[in-house]
Amino acid sequence: MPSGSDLLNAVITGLGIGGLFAVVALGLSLVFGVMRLMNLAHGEFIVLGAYLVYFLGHWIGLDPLVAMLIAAPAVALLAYPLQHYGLSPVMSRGAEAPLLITFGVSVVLQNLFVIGFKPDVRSLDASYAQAGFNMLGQHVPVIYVVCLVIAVALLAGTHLLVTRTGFGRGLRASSEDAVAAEVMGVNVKRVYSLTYAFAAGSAAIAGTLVGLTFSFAPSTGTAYLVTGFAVVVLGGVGSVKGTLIGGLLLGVIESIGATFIGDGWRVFIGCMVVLIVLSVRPQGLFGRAGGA
Amino acid sequence: MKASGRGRGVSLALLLVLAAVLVAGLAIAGCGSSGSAASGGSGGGSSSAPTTVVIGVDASMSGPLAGFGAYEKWAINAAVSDQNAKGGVTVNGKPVQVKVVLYDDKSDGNVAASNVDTLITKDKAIAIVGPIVPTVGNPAALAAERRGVPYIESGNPLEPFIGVKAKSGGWKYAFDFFVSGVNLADSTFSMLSEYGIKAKTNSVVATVVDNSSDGPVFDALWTANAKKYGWKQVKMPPYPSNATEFGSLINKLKQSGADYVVALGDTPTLIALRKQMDAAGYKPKIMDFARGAQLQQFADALGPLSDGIIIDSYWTPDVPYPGAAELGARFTKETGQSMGQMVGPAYATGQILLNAINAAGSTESQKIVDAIAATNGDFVCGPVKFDANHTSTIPSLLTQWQNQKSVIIWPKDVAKGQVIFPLP
Repeated sequence: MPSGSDLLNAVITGLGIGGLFAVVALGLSLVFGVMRLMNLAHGEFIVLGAYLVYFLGHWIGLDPLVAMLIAAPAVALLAYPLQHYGLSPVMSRGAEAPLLITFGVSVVLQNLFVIGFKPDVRSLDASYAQAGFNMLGQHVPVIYVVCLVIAVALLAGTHLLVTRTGFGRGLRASSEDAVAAEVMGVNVKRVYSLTYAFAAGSAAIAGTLVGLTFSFAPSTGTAYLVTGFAVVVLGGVGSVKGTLIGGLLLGVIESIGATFIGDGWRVFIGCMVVLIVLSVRPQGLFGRAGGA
Repeated sequence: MKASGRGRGVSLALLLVLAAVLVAGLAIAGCGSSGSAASGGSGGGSSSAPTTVVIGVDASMSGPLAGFGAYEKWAINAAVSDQNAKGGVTVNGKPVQVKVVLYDDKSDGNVAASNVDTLITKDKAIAIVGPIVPTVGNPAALAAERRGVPYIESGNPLEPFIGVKAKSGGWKYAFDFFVSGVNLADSTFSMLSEYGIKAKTNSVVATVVDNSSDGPVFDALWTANAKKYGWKQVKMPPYPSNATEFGSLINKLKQSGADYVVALGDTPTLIALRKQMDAAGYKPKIMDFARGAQLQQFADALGPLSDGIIIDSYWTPDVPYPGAAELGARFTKETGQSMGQMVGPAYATGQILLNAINAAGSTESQKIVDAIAATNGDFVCGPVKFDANHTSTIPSLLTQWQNQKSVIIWPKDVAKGQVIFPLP
């Protein structure tokens, strides 16, 4: 039977991993909340971000967290025209066409990664990715703290962006009722494109954290897409606060479950929690009933 | 939103979609298959000599096992290219060029089996070269066996291969030559005793396996070896083969106090495990990783963190077998890449199969199978002679990552460097 110390260790680990989960899910939640679009290319934006940071590190010696500040806007810049010219014209034609486009983009990007970067597994290197410190009698990996701090900062910043800026007002209006927002003068197309670009940029940040904490390869994105959906369902679609808490909750529950039952049950436990939340509160913990 | 005035936009968008799907399809096709030598009529057992014969190759070119497939692809093509330069193989008394058709199984056993079916039915392959690792190798072998087509592979430890057909009469068309899991699992335990390293530890070993098909095999072998060599074993619960987060496992490893950790896994999982062990401040004195740690990308991804990790191995260009050094030099010259262990066994796979087709003088399956079964010679990976199980054991080695290079440390007579102990 695991001890109290094991439980504490699981909570600390879970918070770090949960922070990473929240960053992974942020873009998915925003795009789904605002555009009602399941962005199946989100995982590939995560991997693209990781590759950009990797090569910025190898070519000009940038620390991954510094390179991330270049990679995130770069991925956002690539995503903007994709939404504007690829997705936007078919958004009014129902959910299938944009969904298929994001699927196509996902497949194309995965294959371009294989062709361009080889199928090798890679990892981002930094001294803090392997460092640790002692707290409450536990050895805490620095990278988990980095994940948690970046998650809180990014999601808090996003919350402020959504609630305190003109862009945020447009975003919320578009999310509530796109037609009414357009009538009221909101440039919904532009809001959609900017939201999609912002989501892709946040995916690049997630890719950096994935590369620092674990490893990545051309096909890695799919696994994180699934994790992201679980967090979105748990926290509530479109809710920034829900995404953070949903991510942390999933990380901690999986970690505690793995400690008590075994690592083999980690994903199963996460899925069970998502199913239970769905059955009790279909809109997620922080989603609005009847809303998307 | 208004729909008026968007007809043209939508058409353009749909064109974009079609273009994207087309590009994707082309990209997949580009990744999925490759060929060498000119096409033409194929074999298939007719009495007249074909213009070319097709050898089908299923390899893991993407997914977690991708590192293996890249080496396999180069090596098979090199073996076929060498044979074609000599005039090809002899079929019905006439020289015939050999064409390689390769499909990517994406490290998925179901795709591997499907690829083999396609290679046999669509591409008319007269024999199949299978992928590395039991999770993809066994389904591919079964697919060839079902269709009665000769199949040969290396990289699948013998016990999981034999086990698949142990209760159903054994393999009739499929062959596997590789290290025995028994030898592979014994190597590090044996080396630690032989070099007096065990005496410098607390004699506690923690064993970690994933839930892949060779997980239980290695789990049982390590358990037997721990007992045989006097180690107290702490078994960790199996982890999912695609796991990336090992917080609770590492916590259990720390609590075990084991000086020696031996783990089985794919490359991404072992990279994540090693990074997280270090981040969690857990450093055993000996770390031995089986399967995924042998690829150069493992050391490249981890950098200095890979140093000191012992790898259950089977080939480097330094092994004392004919042509090994030359093959290693050729691989490096032609690809500019770091050496991979699979280069030697995969090249030997091509050699053995091409020799067998020549010996059979025919594209008939049974004649090729009989010729493979009669193989008895020295190849770049050591001597190969198949037994009644259609398996042949090649010698196992231990290598260790030292400055991100794989250095042979055991057996003593072929060692090229000293063991780094304890783990830096």
